[in-house]
Amino acid sequence: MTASVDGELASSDERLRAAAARAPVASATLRALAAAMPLLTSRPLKPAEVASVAKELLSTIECEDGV
Amino acid sequence: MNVDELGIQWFRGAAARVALRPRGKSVVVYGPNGSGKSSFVDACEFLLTGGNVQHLSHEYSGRRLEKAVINTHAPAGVDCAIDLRLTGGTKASASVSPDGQAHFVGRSVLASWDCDAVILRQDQVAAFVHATKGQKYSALLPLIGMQSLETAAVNLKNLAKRVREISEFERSLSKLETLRERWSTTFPGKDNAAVAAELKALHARYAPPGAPPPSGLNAAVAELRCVLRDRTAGHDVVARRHAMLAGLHRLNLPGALTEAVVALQALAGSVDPLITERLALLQHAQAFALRLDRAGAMACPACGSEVDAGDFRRHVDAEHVRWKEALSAYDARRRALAKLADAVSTAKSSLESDDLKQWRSDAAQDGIRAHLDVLAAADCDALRAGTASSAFAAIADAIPRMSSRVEECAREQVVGVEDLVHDTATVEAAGAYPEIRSHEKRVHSVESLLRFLVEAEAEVRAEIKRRTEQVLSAISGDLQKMWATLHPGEPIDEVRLYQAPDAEKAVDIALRFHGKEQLSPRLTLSEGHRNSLGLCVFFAFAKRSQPARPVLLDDVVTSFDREHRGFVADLLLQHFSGRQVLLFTHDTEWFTELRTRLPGCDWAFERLLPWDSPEVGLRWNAARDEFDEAKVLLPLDAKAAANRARATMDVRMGIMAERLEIPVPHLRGPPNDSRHAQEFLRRFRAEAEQRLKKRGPDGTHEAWLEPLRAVESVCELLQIWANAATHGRYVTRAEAERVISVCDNFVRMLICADCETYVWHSHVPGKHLRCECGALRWRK
Repeated sequence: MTASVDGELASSDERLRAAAARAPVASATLRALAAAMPLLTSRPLKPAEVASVAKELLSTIECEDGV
Repeated sequence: MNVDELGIQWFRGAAARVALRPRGKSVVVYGPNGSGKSSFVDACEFLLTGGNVQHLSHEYSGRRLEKAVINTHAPAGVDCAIDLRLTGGTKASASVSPDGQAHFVGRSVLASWDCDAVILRQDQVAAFVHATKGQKYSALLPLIGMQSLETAAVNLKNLAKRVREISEFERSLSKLETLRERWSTTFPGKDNAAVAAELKALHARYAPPGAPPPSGLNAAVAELRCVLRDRTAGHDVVARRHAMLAGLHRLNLPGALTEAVVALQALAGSVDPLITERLALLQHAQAFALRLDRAGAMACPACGSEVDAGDFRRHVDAEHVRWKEALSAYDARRRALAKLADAVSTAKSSLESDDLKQWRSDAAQDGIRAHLDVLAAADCDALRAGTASSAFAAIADAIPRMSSRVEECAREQVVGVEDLVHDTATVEAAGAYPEIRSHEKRVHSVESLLRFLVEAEAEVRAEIKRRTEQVLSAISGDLQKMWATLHPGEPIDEVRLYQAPDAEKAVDIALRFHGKEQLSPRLTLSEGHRNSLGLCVFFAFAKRSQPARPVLLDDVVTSFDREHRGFVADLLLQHFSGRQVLLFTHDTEWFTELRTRLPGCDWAFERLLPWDSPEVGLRWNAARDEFDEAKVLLPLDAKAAANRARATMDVRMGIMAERLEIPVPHLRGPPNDSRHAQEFLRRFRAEAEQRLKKRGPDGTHEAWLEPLRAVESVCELLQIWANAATHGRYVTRAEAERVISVCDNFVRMLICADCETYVWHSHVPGKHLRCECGALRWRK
């Protein structure tokens, strides 16, 4: 991973925090999206890949619903 | 990495292998029209694109361009091939078989060479200027280095869409609305506390004496369900059946069906004509928008009246509202179908219960039995999704017939059961409260996630916008400097790229024309100026491309006048000195000018001979310069050789006078641009005595008179022998040889023997022009 990509990902974390400040979500959801950002930034994803990330995010709110 | 050598054989105009050898330097290649200059550019494009040369791709060129790229007379058994060697030794090559199959080797070294940023052809110079705002944005994306951010934004948008689909958000929302509606129908205007109080009263009525009151709404529902079930079970079969039928009646199936039918009709009424209209309108709107991009106002394609951009946007906004209305009709349809599906589902459960099985088999129900069976077998999921149109028709037919009989039975008085039926319905309605809460929570969670994803995409888009502004500002800075170099002192300035305020991914070029702001160069700039602007844009982009790559310019100044063509050399020297440029031109005068201005240490100059035949192909001109070419003519035609030398001097001395800023009186009309060398030389002689200096052995600069003496000979010989138009006398070979030699020698005197640059190579403001090392000077 190049330095510029590292920098981009650090910036993407900041952007997600800024987004969460305006549209609050559970910390687990925020963490899950932050973890997916390298993939989301790397290339246009195939529908199945997008679905996989979507399910991961929804599982974080299912857990919260359970709580 | 620069180009060291580019070889082609039997490719386009080439026959046996011919190579352009810049050796890492920039190079200017002169060749008359059709001499094969573009074959080198085509070869480069072929390598960069993996076998696609855009201007050769057409219906007659074959599927793999085999009819266009292979020399028409290539002998059987020889390869059509391209080989490229870069400085550092890396190589890339291509060989093309007769059927057009191309085999590439080492092309990966060119992976970062974006063809559009490397090659600029004559017919593409103004392409960026003429491109749409969206195309300009796309062209900029790789330069802005935001491909990853753009990818992230698109992925986030798709992610939100998939979350919405997978979570069945629309269905949950619809279900929630149905539950809320049912609640408000049963408990109109009542809040949870009022409903809890009502249940508490029911509990007091039905619960055994002394039982403690329930602690909340959910507990009250649970307890009352048990109590009421026991009470109902205590009644006889007839009473229980009555209670079931009354419940079935209260479902109001005909009402739900009517709502669904009305919603479907409304949808069909709004969507069908809308889609038909949209399809027709879209074609007009596309053509309309294209022309609107070129002009602020235009004739409406429908009525022919003048329409401006603002009106068009308002019209588009109105259409947007109509689409939203259609979407809302779809939404109403979904809700109505969900409500009907819920009601049918509950009815099915009732019909399947033991209490109603006997009732269904009674002879009294013979008339509606088939309808009851339809209802009992209904696929509620398909009904909810709206995918079972035939099933919907059967249910729509069954419900009214069945309902009237159910209503009839429900109205039969059964002592003691009426209140029980009513109270059971109340408790069941209140029992939906946990379901409502659960759906509310689910909908809220998904809604929050979707909002978050939308905000995350907005953040990324904002970042793209911010960075785009930064990059546009930097490119605009370069653009302004380059434009000022090509158009010094002209009343067109402040050329800059800007983000269009009315669209997300849109960039355009603005400028100031005689002090007035113009949001597009197409409003005021001539074709020549647009080409000039296109060249500046290409250079500004190329300057920012990293890693640095060479650029190939193929006859890009054909629409420039002589003055502006001359400024291109300034542009190359001032703003592009660090890059390798492979410049191809058919303009011999410009070639000569570039040769006198661009430093030999960084630039090479090559010339192609006129193309002869497919078998001969491309040939380099071995002559060092025009004087060498004149010498070639000596044994054939001495007079032509002398005339060639004179013509060369006319061009060279014109350039010299311009560079040394030697004033010549203005002449009216064409003669001003077609002066003879003698006129410039006489002026040079008058000025040089005071202004031309050469550094002596002691390091001081002193007047250099040798060129003045040479000028005398040149003027004398040109006057006598070399002007065929005014002097028709016979010229011997020896005389012609002397004319060429004297002229060549004089021109060489203006080049420093040490650094090999012309005396006008550098400019020391307010003082003098000088060669690179400073040995020769021309005082200002």
